[in-house]
Amino acid sequence: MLSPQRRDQLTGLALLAPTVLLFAGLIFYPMAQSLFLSLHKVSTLTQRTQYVGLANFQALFADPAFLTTFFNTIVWTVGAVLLQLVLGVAGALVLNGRLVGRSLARGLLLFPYLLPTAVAVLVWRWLFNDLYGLINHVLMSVGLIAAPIAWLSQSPNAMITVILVGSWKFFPFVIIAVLARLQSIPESLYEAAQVDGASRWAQFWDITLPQLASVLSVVILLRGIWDFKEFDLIYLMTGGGPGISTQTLPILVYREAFQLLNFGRGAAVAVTMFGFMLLFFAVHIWATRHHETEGR
Amino acid sequence: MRGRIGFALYNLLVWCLVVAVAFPLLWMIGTALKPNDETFAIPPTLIPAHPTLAQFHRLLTDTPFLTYFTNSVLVAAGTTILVIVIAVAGAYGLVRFRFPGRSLIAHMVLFTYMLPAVVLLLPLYLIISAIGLANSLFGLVIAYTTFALPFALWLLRSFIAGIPLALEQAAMVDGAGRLRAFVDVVLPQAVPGIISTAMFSFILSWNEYLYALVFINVDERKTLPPGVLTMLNQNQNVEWALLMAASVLMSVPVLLCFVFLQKHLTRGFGASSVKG
Amino acid sequence: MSSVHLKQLRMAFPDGTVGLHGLSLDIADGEFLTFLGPSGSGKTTTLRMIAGLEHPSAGEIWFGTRRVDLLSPADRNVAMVFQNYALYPHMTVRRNLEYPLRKRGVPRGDRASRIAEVTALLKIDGLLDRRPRQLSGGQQQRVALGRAMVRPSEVFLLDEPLSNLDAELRAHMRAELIQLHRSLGRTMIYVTHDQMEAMTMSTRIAVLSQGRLQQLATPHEVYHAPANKFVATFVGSPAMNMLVGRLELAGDVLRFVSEHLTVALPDCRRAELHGAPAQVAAGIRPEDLRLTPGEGDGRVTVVERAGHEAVVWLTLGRQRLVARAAAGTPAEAGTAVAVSVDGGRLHLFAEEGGQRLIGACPA
Repeated sequence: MLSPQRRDQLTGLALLAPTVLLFAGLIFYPMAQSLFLSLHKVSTLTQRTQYVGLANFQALFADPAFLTTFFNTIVWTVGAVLLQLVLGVAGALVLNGRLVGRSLARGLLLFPYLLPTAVAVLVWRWLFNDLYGLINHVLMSVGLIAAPIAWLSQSPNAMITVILVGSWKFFPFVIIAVLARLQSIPESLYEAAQVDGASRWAQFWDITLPQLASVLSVVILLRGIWDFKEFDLIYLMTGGGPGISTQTLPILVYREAFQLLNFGRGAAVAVTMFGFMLLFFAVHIWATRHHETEGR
Repeated sequence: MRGRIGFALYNLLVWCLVVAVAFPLLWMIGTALKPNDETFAIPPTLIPAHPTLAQFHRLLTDTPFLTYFTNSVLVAAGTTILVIVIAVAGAYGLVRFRFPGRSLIAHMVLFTYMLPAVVLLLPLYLIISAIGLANSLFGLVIAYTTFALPFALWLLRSFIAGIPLALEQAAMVDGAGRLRAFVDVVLPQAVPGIISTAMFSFILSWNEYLYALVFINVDERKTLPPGVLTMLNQNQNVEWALLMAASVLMSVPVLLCFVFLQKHLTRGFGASSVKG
Repeated sequence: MSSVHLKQLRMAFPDGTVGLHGLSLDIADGEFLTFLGPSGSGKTTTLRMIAGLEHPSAGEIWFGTRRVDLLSPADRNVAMVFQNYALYPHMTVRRNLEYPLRKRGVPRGDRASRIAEVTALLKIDGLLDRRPRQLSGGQQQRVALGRAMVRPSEVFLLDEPLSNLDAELRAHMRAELIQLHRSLGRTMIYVTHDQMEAMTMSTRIAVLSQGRLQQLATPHEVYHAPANKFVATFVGSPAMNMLVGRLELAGDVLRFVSEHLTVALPDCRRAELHGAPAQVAAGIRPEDLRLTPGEGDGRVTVVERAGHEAVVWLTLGRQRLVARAAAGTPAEAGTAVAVSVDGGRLHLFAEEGGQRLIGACPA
């Protein structure tokens, strides 16, 4: 007869079995195959593979277009995360305070996060349209610009526009994370500070900000990870253009693999990205390790 | 008195900013309600002079929009059901059972939740083509499992962890077996969490673009995101009012879920790990 | 109903810490046994192992002549009241009470009569259609008791069931539980860190500390003849005073000598102390400490007047002491006080290891 512990362990494993199987088949096997492909030359016609070692990577890193792409990815990620952080913290502070119609404001500010990226892109492309777009029209009619600006078809405008739109779409994440933390700061801390004679500004500086520090570090990390791998928004806004001025790593993977049918090279870019993700992930685990142990 | 005026001014300022953030959504709705000749009117107006549902009518009758919509519903609903069934069992196993490798599996789930879709894109494409599911909605469902399952597991894990362990133990002392206790006691408690997880999984699948773009190449199987963007790129003269109407209809299911989900946004956005 | 036997129960956690170091004890049929101890003493672990919710790393559990440690909770036929009651939130009170009956396959007609009986006994028959969150803490407590009582079980386990109630209700429930035990006659095993509950309700108390059984005895014995220093100071409030000193034979009289207090021990103690170590700790219950205000080298620091009595805190040199005095005691903070104690009331423990050497003389 099985001991109760053993029986329990087996039940637990049985419940997890479908999950583990799907993970193995749909995530880990493909990951391994990505790695495999990145070390091979794949014939487009026959799909026959030939081992080439690190040749794909060598070719990649020697390619100036790759370096530009990499640089673009960094610019996009850093720019978007910073802007989201500013907008998000401001939004959270506003929503945490007294405000008429607060729940409506909360809904309006948070909704873009769940909006289909395709919809966000359509609306913003309509707003940023060179000829008929509302934004050019308004800027011209108030006299800020004399001629319409090509927001998406000129560099560096395109990158700036993409960062703006991306921040609009994703900053609600920062709001919700910061807001949750703000609401968990006990009111008695502020009351104690008031009794101790702290001004509102001092309260913000000495209580609110230190309490937010840990949240912000995790928010930066998570948004960093997610923006780093963002494909839909950038690809749909600009397709990576003009030229490759807004092409980021995920777009490069797609292009190499599905437009140039260069499987090995596409896989090499994907594996490079994967390496960066591992790094981010390690930092994330390290940064949240105490939350994990608390949550058990 | 000064305080009240200050408060009013502050509210006014904040609301201007809120409206500015929400403006693209208002502009989308405004444009969708305009007749074609008003779309490019100068000066542009937010509120149509002659509001009409003509764009919606055209969308549903003259374009494949309805096909895309149906496909999206099928894929999103299929993914959601598949993922919820597997994830409820998996999350329960992960939260309540002790066995070697448990924390490894938990970390694995978190890791895959953050994994970039493009890393899996190429091999998944090869696998799904190899098993003959290219250009099929079911193939898309399988591909969506790669992000929806880790997400649902992660979310359900936190919901189930919030159900007091003592409830199951009471049921076991009362004579129920382990799985019986799960069905009798845990499942009813987890229903709100399961519903919200289902809604979030639905939204994720509904919004997905990249896999849908790569795995489906025939028009009648396309889902909304790539489908509608095909409509954008088809004509030289872009019919913005029509596209805005499509955008509005695409957003409606998401909006309905969003209203339902207000309470669980912190978890659903994946922000609960930062709650501290 | 049955007796319960724990044989060398051991609990080691995966992180290597040991929660229980081989606990053995026998609980008689119909007994009310309380596991008393501070948090981390292993008392809840023991109870949960009896219920089958945790599995011992070694050792056996027997209910009468049936070995149960390899059985699942459902197969052990125990009833349990949880600390937070663990009422099923999605079921009405009636469904909560019915659940254990349904799981045991009790026919519908019998279920109703069992529920009627229990709810009448606990006076909760008016609440049957409510849900747990619509009940007060005291009512939830009763429903939890009812759910445990509703079916016959071998043993009745209670895990700190009163800890979430306010003081008044707690006192009231104590009395009810005593009555309940008397009328049901079931074997009850009770876990608490509250000595008042343990003292008032139990037939016997098992005092646990750091995973080891310190003493298993009646409440009277635990209080009047504590087995060691831990039990002596853990049971009793305010806690027993503990003075370090040595035993000296002065002529014909055996004395306990400490820095500021010397106590002559009566003859009845001599025989017991034969061969005792010289270094000892003397325990004095606050009520055994006699104070003579106005003179002496004790100094009163605080007087807590509680109406029916006063608790006097004082220092004797560097030694801090606490005494129970009559409500009208003239002792005031800052005044001098003389301290004495009847040698027959002294509890002596080995300084090393803390084992009891002798208790108070028989009165």
